Amino acid sequence: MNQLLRLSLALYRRLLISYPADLRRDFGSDMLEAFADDLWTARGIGGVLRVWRTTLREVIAIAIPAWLEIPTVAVPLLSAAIVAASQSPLVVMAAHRQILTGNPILADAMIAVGIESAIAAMTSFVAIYRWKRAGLITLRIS
Amino acid sequence: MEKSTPLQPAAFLVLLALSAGDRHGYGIRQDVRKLDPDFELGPATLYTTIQRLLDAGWIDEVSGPESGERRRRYYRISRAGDAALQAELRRMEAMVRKSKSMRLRRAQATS
Repeated sequence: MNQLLRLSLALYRRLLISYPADLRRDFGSDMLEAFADDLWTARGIGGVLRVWRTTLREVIAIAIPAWLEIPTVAVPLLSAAIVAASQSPLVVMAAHRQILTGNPILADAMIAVGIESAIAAMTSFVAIYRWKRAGLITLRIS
Repeated sequence: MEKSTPLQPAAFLVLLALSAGDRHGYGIRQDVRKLDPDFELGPATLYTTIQRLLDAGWIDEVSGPESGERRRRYYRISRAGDAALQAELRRMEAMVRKSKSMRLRRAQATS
């Protein structure tokens, strides 16, 4: 059990990096202490799992939205999503053809869409990063 | 944070806990657990809320008693924070009154 608590604490310390920098700077040690308090008062493995459930909910509700406010993350994700959405009719057609003919082309279509999305994400990331470094844009989404 | 808009549940509970006196983070969480045992106030929710309330000037950081190996940070509700809390409590009371009178009217209409 002690090992599980130590592992949980080490994981949470790593997980803190997913929270906004100002929150980490001002309250990182307090958050770690509060998490440790939760762990020590948790009863059994079920209690530890409940602590982690709360923690994961917080990551989804607080950390991920904060990341999505960062343009170097938001813009590439958006680009990838647009490409994936625009190519989705092809995936549907591939699935339909696979059902009709038995020709296994769905996986190929999905891989192709994945590659296109990744290229779109990487391209927009490099563009945003370079523009930011050149001082051509001020990164702020609000 | 606008005074006229409803408070976020976490902000409301933190302000309510601090209305009883200065608290550190752990004390706030203990009070919130007593006020609403079903509300999950995890570390990130608590300190994000504290950060927002500090930024809004609704709570202040105050020096607490020095005890133990690490000095905990204490928080105190400010006058603006207390006004916001009272406004929220009045809003909630008005909602309860209205919902009770609506239920009463419906019960009278069906009987």
